[in-house]
Amino acid sequence: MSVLILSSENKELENQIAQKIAERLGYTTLDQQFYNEIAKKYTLDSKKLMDAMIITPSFLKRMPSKQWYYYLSCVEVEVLARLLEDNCVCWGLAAHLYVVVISHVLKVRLIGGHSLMSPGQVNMNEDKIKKIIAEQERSRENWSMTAYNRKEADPGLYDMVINLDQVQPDEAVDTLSTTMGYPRLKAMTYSKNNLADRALAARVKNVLLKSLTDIQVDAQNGTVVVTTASVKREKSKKIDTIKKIAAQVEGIGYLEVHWNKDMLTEAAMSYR
Amino acid sequence: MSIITISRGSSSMGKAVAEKVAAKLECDIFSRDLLFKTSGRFHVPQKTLEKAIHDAPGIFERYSHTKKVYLTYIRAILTEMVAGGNIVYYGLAGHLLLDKLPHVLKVRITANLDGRVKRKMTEGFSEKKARDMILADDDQRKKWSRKIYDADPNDCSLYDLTVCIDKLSVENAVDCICRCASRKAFESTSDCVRQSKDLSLAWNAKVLLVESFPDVGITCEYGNLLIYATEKEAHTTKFKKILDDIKKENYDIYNLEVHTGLPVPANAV
Repeated sequence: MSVLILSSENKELENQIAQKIAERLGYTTLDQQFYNEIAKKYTLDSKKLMDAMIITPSFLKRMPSKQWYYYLSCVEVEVLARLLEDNCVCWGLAAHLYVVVISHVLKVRLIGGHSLMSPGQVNMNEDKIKKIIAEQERSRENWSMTAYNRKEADPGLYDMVINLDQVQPDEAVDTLSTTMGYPRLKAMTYSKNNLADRALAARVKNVLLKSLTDIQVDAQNGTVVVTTASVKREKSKKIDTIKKIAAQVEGIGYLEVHWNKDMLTEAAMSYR
Repeated sequence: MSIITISRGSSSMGKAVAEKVAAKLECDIFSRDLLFKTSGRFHVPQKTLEKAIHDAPGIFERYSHTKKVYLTYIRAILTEMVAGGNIVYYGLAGHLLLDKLPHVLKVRITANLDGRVKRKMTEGFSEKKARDMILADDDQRKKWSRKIYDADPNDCSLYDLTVCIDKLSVENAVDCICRCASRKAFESTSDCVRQSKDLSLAWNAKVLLVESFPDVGITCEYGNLLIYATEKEAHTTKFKKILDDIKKENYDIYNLEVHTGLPVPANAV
């Protein structure tokens, strides 16, 4: 009754290990194929959705910030909804960045193992491989910082980090399969409620991001707190809009809107 | 026959984990004993050795090589202790001091700051004092690792396994580590024992050279000791005298060669 989230720079090994664990434990899998389902549900371009999970917002790449945040939010909503079902191995969907402090979710980072790369990559010289890896890491860090203000490689984000330079993939599968059986990782009412709150916050954020920007949403025991910023004269208009839109979401016990003054826009307007 | 190093921040339950791992695998366990033994053999106060292995080099130390000398002493003793196998070391910088031995299981125990502060407070410190002490200690460790080894202690690639003690209990962490130690990669084969002995020989030879010739590199394979020095260093009487001492003191050395003018290999100590 638990969830395993894997993260790795080495996609091939990550895929291989995740599949084996799911098979051994009889868990369902949630991987990048899920993007097609999400794209279909929200009538999005699936290629663009996948791009949004790799690139940061950029005018040149035709990915405006508003659209980018909305795409990310769609993924978050659907992944969290699936994780509520338990017994799942999830990878390749950046879930380690938005599923935090849930006791029945084990987050594992797999590092190294570059010597176990596919034959095409092995033919490259070591310096080139190192350069490619460093470049990938830099770009992922940039993405994760822009999207969730968290460094993907930060060990504090994970419950376990396994270095595949010494540990073989099959040994990692053994270790993780055993770890998933520890009583500490069993789903409890409290941890399930926490995950349900996260899912609720993600749903509220998703409907708000369709038309608004600068939105943060948090939820606890069904109480949803939306934090936003705008110029003072738009305060009541923005709060009303948020309340009206958020009311469409099922499961909200109580809705609170916290408003902050957008100092920069305010200053720019007063100068005019 | 496992060799395990357990690295941790202060108040991260690393000691409890190390003790239980050692008990479960029936291994010897040591931490401060390393400094005690080093101090005894080389007649250097334990406090000085502890400073060398804990604190980052000060402004003046960066230009002298006292830290390098003390670290060489410590590594000579550590590699000697490890050569016997079946050991859990949970003292400072084990993962860096034994970085040349691939069959050593290097583990890092992490814990969130709030939990660490709470544990520190049980020793009678106020919350602010406990937090400050932990942060200062982490900062010092980071500086030390950066200055001496150009590495960040939080870099997971330095370890084979990193476990967060807040999510898994001490018992779970112990179980995980013991399972990992039983894997093939960490088995102490006859080749691994030979590598450990060679490394111990190299460090013991370095002990004699480091004070006068801190930049020489030494490799050892199957008891064949290769010393990489500059032409100038190799022709001094002092150098020749030390080589004679090395031969006399280390009966396990099969052959000793001095290579001059060659670049020091990456695996040299």
